[in-house]
Amino acid sequence: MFRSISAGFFIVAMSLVAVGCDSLSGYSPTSPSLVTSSGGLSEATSIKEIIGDAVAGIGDPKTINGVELLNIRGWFANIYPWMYDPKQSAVHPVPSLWTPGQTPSPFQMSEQCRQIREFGGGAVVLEYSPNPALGWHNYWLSTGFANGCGPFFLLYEHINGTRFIPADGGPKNMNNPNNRQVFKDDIDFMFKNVILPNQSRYVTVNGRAVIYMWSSVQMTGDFASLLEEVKKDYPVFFIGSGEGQPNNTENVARIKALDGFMEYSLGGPSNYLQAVQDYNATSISLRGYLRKLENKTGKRHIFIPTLQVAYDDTNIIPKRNNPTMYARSSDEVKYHAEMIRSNVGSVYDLGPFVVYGELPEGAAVIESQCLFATMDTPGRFVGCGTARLQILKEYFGWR
Amino acid sequence: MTKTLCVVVVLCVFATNLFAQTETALPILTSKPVVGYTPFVKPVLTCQCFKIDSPPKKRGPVLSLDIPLSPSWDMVQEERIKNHTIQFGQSGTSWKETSRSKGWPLPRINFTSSSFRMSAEGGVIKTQGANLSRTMTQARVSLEGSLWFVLVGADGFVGQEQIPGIMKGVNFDADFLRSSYGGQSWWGIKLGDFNRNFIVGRYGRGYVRTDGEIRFIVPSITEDLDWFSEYLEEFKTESASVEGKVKTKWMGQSVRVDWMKYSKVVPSPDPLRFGENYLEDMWLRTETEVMPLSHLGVVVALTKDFRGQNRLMFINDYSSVRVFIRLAF
Repeated sequence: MFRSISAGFFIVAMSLVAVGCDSLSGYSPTSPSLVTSSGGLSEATSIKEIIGDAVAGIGDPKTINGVELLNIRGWFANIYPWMYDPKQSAVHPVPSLWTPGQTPSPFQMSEQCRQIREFGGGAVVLEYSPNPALGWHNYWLSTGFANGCGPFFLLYEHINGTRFIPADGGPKNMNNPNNRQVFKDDIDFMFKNVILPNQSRYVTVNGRAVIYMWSSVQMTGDFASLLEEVKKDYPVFFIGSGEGQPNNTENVARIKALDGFMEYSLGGPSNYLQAVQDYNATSISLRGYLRKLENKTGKRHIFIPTLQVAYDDTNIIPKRNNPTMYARSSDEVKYHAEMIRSNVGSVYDLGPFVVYGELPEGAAVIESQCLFATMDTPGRFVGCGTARLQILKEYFGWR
Repeated sequence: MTKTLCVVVVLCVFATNLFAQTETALPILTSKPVVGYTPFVKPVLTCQCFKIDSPPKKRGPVLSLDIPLSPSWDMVQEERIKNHTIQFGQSGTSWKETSRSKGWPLPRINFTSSSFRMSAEGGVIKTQGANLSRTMTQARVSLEGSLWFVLVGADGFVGQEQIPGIMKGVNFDADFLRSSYGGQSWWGIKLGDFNRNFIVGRYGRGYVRTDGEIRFIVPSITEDLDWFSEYLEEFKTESASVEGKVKTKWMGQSVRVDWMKYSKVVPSPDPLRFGENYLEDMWLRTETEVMPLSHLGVVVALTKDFRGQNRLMFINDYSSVRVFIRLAF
């Protein structure tokens, strides 16, 4: 009798494991069961996390038992712990996802996760700073590090709001001993307080935890040796951004020390079509350079593309005076997506990376209100509602 | 008496030869020719059916125009272009397809003298597959000359192929454009006369480059969209060939074996992503020339590939059998 019960229990348990979490993702987004389903999903992943993290925590921390980047299907959504200020935003999320004047509540973050998964997101990138003055770490703790979103990795905000010198948004001299120590401290904090406790969901490459820096090109001086030092102490994998074909030894060394590349933004030239074509050409050129580098060093760099739908920072105070950039039609955004898609596997490795909730710069693809200022007009595609997400789902969604 | 007379006559006849042999000092026959020795006696041929004419005078230069009758071309399979793997060359997956070209044939012009020859061919090849049309514009020039036994030569080619709408995207298709050029030079040894019988051995080195580009077709965008590089591969080449030809008044037969090795200029760190670093071709090509009239004839060329047909990565090539009408002047 006992054997039969045990066998039955074993079969049921194995079935659940085999079916996996994907089967739970098809719940109705607006039904009252949403919370229950979501909770079920969280519960299942939590059990996996607890067991996985406990087992992995005992072992050697030289590798992270996480989710391998190259196994992830779908696009990467950048999500934020920021306050939504309607006056400074060019994208206005629907109230169920973000309340004006507030950061997303845990429930709203859970809703954002649901939407990301619904439209084909494969992982999320958490805007993060270890600086306690910003309170971002506590914010993410309150959402369980966006535990409804599935796999995640950190965007280490190393330029704005950091404890580097200078503290402004400019380049950081990484020859400065203070800056080198801050960098090490930050990585140590992230590793011990985010990566290790959440390692079953953390995105890795060959067991090394991915940390993304949105503008590594601004880490001047001998940043390369610092990256190598840190990588000896922690199993981390650095993805940089803003890098092109290097023109001096410092840049060459930094690119060699970085493990991958992923743009945060394509910039803001006024002509969207030209911007996306320039980006494509630049990517092809960078891949050519990385191939030569790989041939010399034997190191393969990961290259993740970036899909950008628009750029509009005209509401940011103080004024930046950058030109706005909107596609003239949805076909121009689809053309951008088409170029990325055709290059995945040759120029790019996977992706793309998409700014999901960057409201002030107008690039966010989050479901947004269709206001007078955000409606499509002839020659200007904004894509309010879920129009931006629909394009992502069409090209990169896999569910 | 009669008997005695007969015996005397017989003895006289045979004794003359007998005495002559014993008395005449015969020349010493050696196995090697002796300098200054001139045989006065022409050896008697045992069979007149293989009679060789006395060596002809040198022929003057010949200019010929070859007009192909068989419009079949070997080219890279469409699937390899769609899969973004054309630059990998011939690998495990299927590589070539043969199509019949439409439109004007590609003529070949040859100029041949005893110690120099030149060949040029080119034009536009249009083929129509099940769904796609392909247009290849290509030209090839080859020239070589010899001084004493030493042969030097060079060849070069350019080619551009355009396949509209071959790439199928989610919403938009894309055109494909392939541009290639290259050349090589060689030196070698030549025995004989290009216009008649000869044998040649060559060794050469060169450079080849091929560039594939795509351009999306977005009907609602009126501007000319950019072409984007799909791949760019450069190769150093190394080649060797042996060629021989026998020609009579009415017929000619040549046989040529070629070997070509392609080495990537920018090596591939990973064959799965960038293809192999070294590729090889080896092929045998024969040409049979029949000239029933002094200015008009037929040439049949046969090609057999042994290792690969990686040269299709750059430009299209004739199929294994081709027939030309030759006009010679």
